[in-house]
Amino acid sequence: MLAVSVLLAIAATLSLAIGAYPIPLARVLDGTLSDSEWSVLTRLRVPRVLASCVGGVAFATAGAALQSLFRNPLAEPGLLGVPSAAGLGAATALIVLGHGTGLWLGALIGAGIVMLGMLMAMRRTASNLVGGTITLLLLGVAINAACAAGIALLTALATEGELKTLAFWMLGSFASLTWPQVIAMATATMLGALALSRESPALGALALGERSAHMVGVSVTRLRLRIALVTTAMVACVTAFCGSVAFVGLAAPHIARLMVGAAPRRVLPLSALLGALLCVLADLVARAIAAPIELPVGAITSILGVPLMVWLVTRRTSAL
Amino acid sequence: MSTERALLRVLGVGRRAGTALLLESVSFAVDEGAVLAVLGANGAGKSTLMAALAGDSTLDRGDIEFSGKPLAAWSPLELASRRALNASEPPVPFAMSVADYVALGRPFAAPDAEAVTAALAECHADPWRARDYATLSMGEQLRVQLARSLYQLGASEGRTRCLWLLDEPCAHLDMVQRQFVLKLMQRFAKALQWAVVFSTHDPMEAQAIADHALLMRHGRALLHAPTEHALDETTLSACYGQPIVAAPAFIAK
Repeated sequence: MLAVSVLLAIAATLSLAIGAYPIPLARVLDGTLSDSEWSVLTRLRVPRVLASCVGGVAFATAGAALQSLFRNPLAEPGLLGVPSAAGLGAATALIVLGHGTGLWLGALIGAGIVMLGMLMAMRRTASNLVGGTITLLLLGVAINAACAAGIALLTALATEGELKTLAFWMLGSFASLTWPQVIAMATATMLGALALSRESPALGALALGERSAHMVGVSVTRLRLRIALVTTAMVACVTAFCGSVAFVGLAAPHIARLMVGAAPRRVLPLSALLGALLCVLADLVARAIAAPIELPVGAITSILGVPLMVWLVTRRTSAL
Repeated sequence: MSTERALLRVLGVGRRAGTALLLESVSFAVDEGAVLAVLGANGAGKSTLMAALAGDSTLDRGDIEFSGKPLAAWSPLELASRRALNASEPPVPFAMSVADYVALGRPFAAPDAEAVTAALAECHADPWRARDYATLSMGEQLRVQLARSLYQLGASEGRTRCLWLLDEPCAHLDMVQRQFVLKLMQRFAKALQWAVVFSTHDPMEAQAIADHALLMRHGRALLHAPTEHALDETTLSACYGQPIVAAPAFIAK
């Protein structure tokens, strides 16, 4: 945990300095930065590094909580359909309404509508102790399918420029965020992460199965509702501004679990740190490797995360 | 049966799924310190009854009282410290040590290593405490699950008057293991005045430890009586709808 925190601090510092417009760190400490350097640092670099930390925390903790809730290591934040709903909202804003700048608002509205719909459907159907989780999962599958269809229809109407904007947004990016946007993301993520960590004992007991978790005192149906609400809200806020950053929500909890075991009270905080680290590094690579061209950060998270995860997973199976 | 010592009271319980009657006006009581065996053919309603006692299905009719109070009036945590269930369980999705698994019996409290060890020792499962739960055999997993319930119910602290429900606990066990598990259930019933209710397909398990037997058929209670009166060729033939004869059998001592 300490090692990961130190790595995160180093990565974040490096990330502040490196980029298309390098900022020498020694001069930051001296206070001898030029006005333009200062402006790059405070208006571009710092919000960007913060956003990538926050995005990593949101995707990773949501993924960890959903994996415990669904008792399935394949669960990830996209499972409940929020990122694809946000994508549909963004596509609608861009293509139908022609608002390139209102992308995030469209995404937030799209995600919000889906979240409300899902909660209403859950109130009616997911009250069963054992079948409810499957219901929730199938709702997510249905939402994903509907949103994919909507996006496909809209892209048929889109111009080439709109298609490129949309594709880039959907792959995720931590670039060009304003301070108020970063603060909104950070607040939502912090509240969400706190709420999830309060649920970690109950999430841990779900490893026994819904029925046994109920027997040891967990109110399973209410827990399910709360986790669905918190994770979707968190993911919606981040996705609206940064797009869907692939793989972090799946990989970070796995890596954390292989490091500290399955108990959510240890997995959640470590996933948060690992998710932030993965996103900061991915963002750094995305803009440094082919500067001044920016690569999509979602692709980089996968490129960084996949080998690490494959190594950890195969190492574990050979040890058993 | 002396009703003032009844820890569990089932009062005219009924449950239906669509038009099918799963349970119909089932009534019985279990005293503290007593073991009840629930017998019946497949589909007779044993598991539905166990689920009703475990509180994970809603009743269409009747009421269930534990320790003089309807189940619905208990808070989930209060009830969890006094009532445990062992039934067939889905596999654990993540790698987890046996000791951590047992500690999930009380998820909201800090793990009590001593009590976990004591519970594992009762089930002769302490050598596996550091093993990955998923690598244990089915019979070994069952003993760890029993240890989880003992930990949940505070067995090592001597918590009395609990309700221990077991749905076919011996289904996958060899005859020696089966005898061990039955004796364990009986021991806690007697030592801590727990009410133990278990379902089984084998009348010999009832004969081995049960004070009373409940014979079910088509969702109804056919007969509820002390085991020595409840189990004979006539009653069992009626219960299973087939002629049943007593014959010598092998039993582990």
